[in-house]
Amino acid sequence: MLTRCMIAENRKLNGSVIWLAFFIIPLFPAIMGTYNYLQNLGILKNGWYDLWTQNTLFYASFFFAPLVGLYAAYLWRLEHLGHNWNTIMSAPVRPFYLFFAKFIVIIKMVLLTQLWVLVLFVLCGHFWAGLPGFPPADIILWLLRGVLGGTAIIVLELLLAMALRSFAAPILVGLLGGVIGMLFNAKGHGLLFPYSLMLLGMNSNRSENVLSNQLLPFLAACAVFSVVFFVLAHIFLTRRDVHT
Amino acid sequence: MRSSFRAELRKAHRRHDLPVIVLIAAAVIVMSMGNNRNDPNAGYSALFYAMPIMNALVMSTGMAVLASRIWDVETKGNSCRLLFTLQSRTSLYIAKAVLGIIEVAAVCLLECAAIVAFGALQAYTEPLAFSRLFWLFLCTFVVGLMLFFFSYALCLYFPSQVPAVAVGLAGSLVGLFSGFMPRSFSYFIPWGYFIPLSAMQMGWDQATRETWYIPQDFPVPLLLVSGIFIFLLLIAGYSLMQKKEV
Repeated sequence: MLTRCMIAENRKLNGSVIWLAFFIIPLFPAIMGTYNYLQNLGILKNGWYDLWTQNTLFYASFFFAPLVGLYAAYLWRLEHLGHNWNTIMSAPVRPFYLFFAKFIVIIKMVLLTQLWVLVLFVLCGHFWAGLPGFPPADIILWLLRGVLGGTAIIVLELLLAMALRSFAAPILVGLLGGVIGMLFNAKGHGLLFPYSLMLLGMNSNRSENVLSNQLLPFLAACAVFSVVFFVLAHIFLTRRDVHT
Repeated sequence: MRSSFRAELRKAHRRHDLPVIVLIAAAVIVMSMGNNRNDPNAGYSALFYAMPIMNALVMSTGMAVLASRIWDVETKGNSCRLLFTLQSRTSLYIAKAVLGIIEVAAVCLLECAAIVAFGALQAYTEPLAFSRLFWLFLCTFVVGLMLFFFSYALCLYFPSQVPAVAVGLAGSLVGLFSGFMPRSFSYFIPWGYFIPLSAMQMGWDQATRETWYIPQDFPVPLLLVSGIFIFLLLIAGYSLMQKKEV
């Protein structure tokens, strides 16, 4: 049944306008970051690593969470129209499967987004900034770690999009979360706030690996936040929303 | 017209628009004040410098969210056909526009009130220049309105809410980007007009890492250009509403 839910969720993305956002939004941090890098070559001496911080700082801090909010709101949109909520609540499918299927589909979208960010990073670094060779392998690890850090944000944004029943509100909450998350990171408390985990995972604010001694706490924070939000979603779907 | 506006107010109440307004202002306030270096001698100047940059980051998305929510209620309820038989399209358009204007003004007022409150809490010794506070309010309001009406027009043009919100999100990035570019470039990026309209510049010494703030003349012509954009977007939105098929 979960597979069928996933197929249905994937079908919503076919020919969807959401792909435009997927392609266009990561373009701006790449252009902005590379331009900024080239303007500050006097103080940025670490080549690909410095370009990475410039390219991904704004993306991971401010725009990843709203982008995920956009994906989540889009996937819940159909359920919130007309009487579709009644239909899904009375369908012979566990409501949580519906939530989990959306989670899997957004993970797929986020992986593709990260891949697109990598492609843009390599293109900007190679052809615009004129950096030699290819980026170090660490970057791939950081991108994957960014996905892990992003799981808590994905579950939370899905929960918000489901509970708020508004298309735009989760996106705004994502933006505010990103802003607060950046402040948490600046104070060194990034592991305590779900919206900070992506920035930590992506290693976007330092050239050296910020999680070299903190990988386990980081993984634990990702797991704890994700599980808590999954449980809240399960409670919401099974207890709060049975009356339609 | 009055009954149309009252209906919009009731919808706003049911939609819980107030928390959204507070969230938009809070995002700007938290970021501006969270990064404030807390120098009581230049506290207000620092806020007058930081606020427009944070507005460039937040307001484009925030205004898209406000406009999307104001129009989305009709899309979700599939109520346009019914509404167009009960009231004129003009009254519906104007009622929503007036509600939007009030909500944008509320965001700007909250931001300005936060500056005054934060200054009092931090016991700033720098006297508060009310003319600069009013200028900040005016610029944030005018540019915010311009972005709101742009998003409102997009909401009317496209059947889906995705383009308006995605353009707002991209606008935030481009607007912030324009702040790092030469001044002449930023005139071509309306999403970032908060920054060239700012009447406070920052200077800094790379060697000593010392920063200082330089008050500027109010760039009135650019504010007038923003006003013209608002007028054009209002007409465009009105025309889209008249032609909207249901």
